Amino acid sequence: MKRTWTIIGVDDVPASFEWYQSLLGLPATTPGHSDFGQVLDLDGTVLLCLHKWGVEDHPSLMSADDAEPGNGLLLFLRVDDFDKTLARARSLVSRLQEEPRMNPNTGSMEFSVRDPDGYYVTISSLDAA
Amino acid sequence: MSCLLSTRASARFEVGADSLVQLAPLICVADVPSSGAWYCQLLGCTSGHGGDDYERLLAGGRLILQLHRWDVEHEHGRLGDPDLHPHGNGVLLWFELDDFDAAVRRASELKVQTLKERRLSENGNWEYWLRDPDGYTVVLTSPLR
Repeated sequence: MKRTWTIIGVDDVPASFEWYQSLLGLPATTPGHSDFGQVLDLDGTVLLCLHKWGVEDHPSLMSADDAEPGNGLLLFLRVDDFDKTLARARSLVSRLQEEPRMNPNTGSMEFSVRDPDGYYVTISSLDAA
Repeated sequence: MSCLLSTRASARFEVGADSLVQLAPLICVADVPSSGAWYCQLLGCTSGHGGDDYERLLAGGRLILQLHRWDVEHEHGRLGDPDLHPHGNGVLLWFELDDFDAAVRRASELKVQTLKERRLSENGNWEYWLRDPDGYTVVLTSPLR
């Protein structure tokens, strides 16, 4: 295994790109294309790829109307600045999907939000896991 | 396909084991042990948890994918509706493999549902698109250049 990527279909790549960079406290950049962008960690690791719905004939990326986007998917992000990420999240969304709490299975603090397209995003503290 | 394989940034880096942010997607499946075995056979990854409700799949010591049974709420409430198809609309699980050709053979042995046959992309990498047992879209690719 060399590398894994998770790619999600979104309605507005630049807007979602900005949303994820804001959530994760990453420097603001613009996506490489209007219909595709890679959200990168500070060391250049690809964290998440955003692909506009329906621009190519890719199965599962055709339309948000085919089924609820992300049904069955949880984007699980572990961060080393949990409290700051929580503060940024509160400024991005009107309410959290799950308030911060200790997950006894991981032993880590976590909270969850919905991204602009409705994908379920869980932020977990990297420290204790 | 060119947009998916824009390698400007990614080609410089290996997996982000030392990153300050790490993403490990979790998908809901009908049968955790069966799906776990399927991914392990396809990708050559290993079980990091085991059990009927939840699985952590590891490659090179790194968490690459989590499996969660649809009908177990655990700590997250219900994560989706198993009766709503297709599962994972909008989601591509993309795996870049050193042993791409062998993985395609393993996929054949698993009798997977092929979405796009093995082919050379315009970016010079080989790809093979398939569905996992629950209908999620999986892409195997040879190393990107």
